[in-house]
Amino acid sequence: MSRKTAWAAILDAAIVAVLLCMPLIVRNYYWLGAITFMLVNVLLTTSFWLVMTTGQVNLGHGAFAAIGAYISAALVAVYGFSSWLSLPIALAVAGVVALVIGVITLRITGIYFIITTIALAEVVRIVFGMWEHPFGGLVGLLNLRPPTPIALPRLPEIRFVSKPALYYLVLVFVLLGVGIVRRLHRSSIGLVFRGIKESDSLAEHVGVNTMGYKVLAFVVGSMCAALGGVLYTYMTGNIQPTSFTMVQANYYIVWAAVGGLATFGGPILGVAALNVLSELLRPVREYEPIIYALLLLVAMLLFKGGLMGAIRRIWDSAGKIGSKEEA
Amino acid sequence: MALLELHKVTKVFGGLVAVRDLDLSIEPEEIVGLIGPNGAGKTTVFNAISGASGPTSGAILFKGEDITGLKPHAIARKGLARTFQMTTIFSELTVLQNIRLGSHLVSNIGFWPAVFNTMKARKREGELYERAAELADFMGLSKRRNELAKNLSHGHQRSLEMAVALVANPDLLLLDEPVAGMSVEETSEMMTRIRKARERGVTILLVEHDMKLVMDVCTRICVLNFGAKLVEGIPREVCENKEVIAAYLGSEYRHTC
Repeated sequence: MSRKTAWAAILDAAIVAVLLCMPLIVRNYYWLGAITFMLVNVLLTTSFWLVMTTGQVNLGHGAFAAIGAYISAALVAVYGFSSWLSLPIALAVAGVVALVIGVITLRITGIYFIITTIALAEVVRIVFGMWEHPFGGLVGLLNLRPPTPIALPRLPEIRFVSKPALYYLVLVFVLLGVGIVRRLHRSSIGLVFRGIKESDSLAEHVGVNTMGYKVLAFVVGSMCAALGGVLYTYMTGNIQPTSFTMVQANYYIVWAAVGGLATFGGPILGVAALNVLSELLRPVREYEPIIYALLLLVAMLLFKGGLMGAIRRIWDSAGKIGSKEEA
Repeated sequence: MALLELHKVTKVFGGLVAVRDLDLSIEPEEIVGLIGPNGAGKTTVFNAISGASGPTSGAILFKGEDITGLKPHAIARKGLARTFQMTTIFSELTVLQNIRLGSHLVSNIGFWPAVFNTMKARKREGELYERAAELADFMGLSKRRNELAKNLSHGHQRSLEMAVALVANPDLLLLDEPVAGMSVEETSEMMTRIRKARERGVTILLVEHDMKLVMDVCTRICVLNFGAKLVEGIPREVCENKEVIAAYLGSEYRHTC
């Protein structure tokens, strides 16, 4: 193992260890709740970014979160399904919808694709707003019960009512979803995604079925979004047509871009940094969009590669100084 | 059997006939030059063959199989590679990553092994990167292996493009102006590599305006003018042909041939 990969492995282990100990470190339930939300945002943003690595910006990402949230909530609240059966059904439905929409819309690229996905986000919002049964129309589905308790033989039943229990539940699913995104990105499939972004036509000519790979990224990204949507309902206990709109997808762009689009870690860093900032900005909440817009501009104009790019440059120059000392 | 056969290939853009009833046949291990004035339809022919923009009518056979109207990736799968007139590389990827992507068709790593990064997938990945490094050396990029493609000089980018096209061992390689904008030394290096590529068993069809390269390297030349074939033959015949001199080469050319 090279020194670089060893450091990366230590960093991974440290992050997971801190995440596992979080409820012991953060005893305040308000903050623990905020951190749980942040984890959901990490999943939504990394999966949004995965689709971006193929060169497509999907502002309909939130629509898939809404589909996941609505399907799972309605199955549990209206039809009495178990949460653990409705979750995979919700993901499957989101996946099938993404497949159909992806095959149709991924032929177009750039700004045209973005416009189409804005329309998609709006259509989904309006459809759920008008669909009274079982989705509750404009009011949505409120006062959802917490996820179904898990009964294990000879062990106490696991309930998901308290903040720490919810935190761990969300953590498990987020690690799973983010782990899948990371594996894909770092595999040869991820390299193909990046190649398609650089040159769709060259990728085609070296034998890549670019449409197939774009659909793959879109479906995986959308299913992760749906998972994020389901976790959102666990956290808030409700889902409404306005929960995931196109505006929400703009936040994914800002989070990802401020963190840095070039690497897997960038968007995660962006979510962490800006969600903390959002909490600090709570007293002046109405100005948040303006501040976000300024940050996006600053990130794009001054910090090439976002926060992650800045850290890398510092790290590299520190490495150079270090190697000089050794010499 | 001919490797590539074009039968009455025609391409129409709106009211403009870019290529008209072109017949062309390429035998294995030939280096065929496609030349002609700007706008004669050379790149259009390339796009029709590679599937980037299929012909309006006519048929294209590759290894005896009809490939007319197939998608580029399906045609690439049958053993056809190409480069572009405008340098086309994966600019934000490194030289090795570029060539590794070029070997997509021969990678033989399944979807799940790739996702789960199995031992077997890792071993295969190692082999593919080794092969990419070999190709980088072959194309004179050994010192640039880990550089981002966008930071290479124009000549190196052209070499990289060819490495990406060659790595999957294609049977036929289409080169669209491989030495455009290159220095004299770079051009002669490229000529050597084109010959070496043929020694590896690759048949080549190339479009080029550098007549020295065309006359030296090509075993046969086809001259296009206004979308139709003007003359076809060995270099000597072509450069002495009066029609070709009038349409393309110019009267001064005779002295150098």
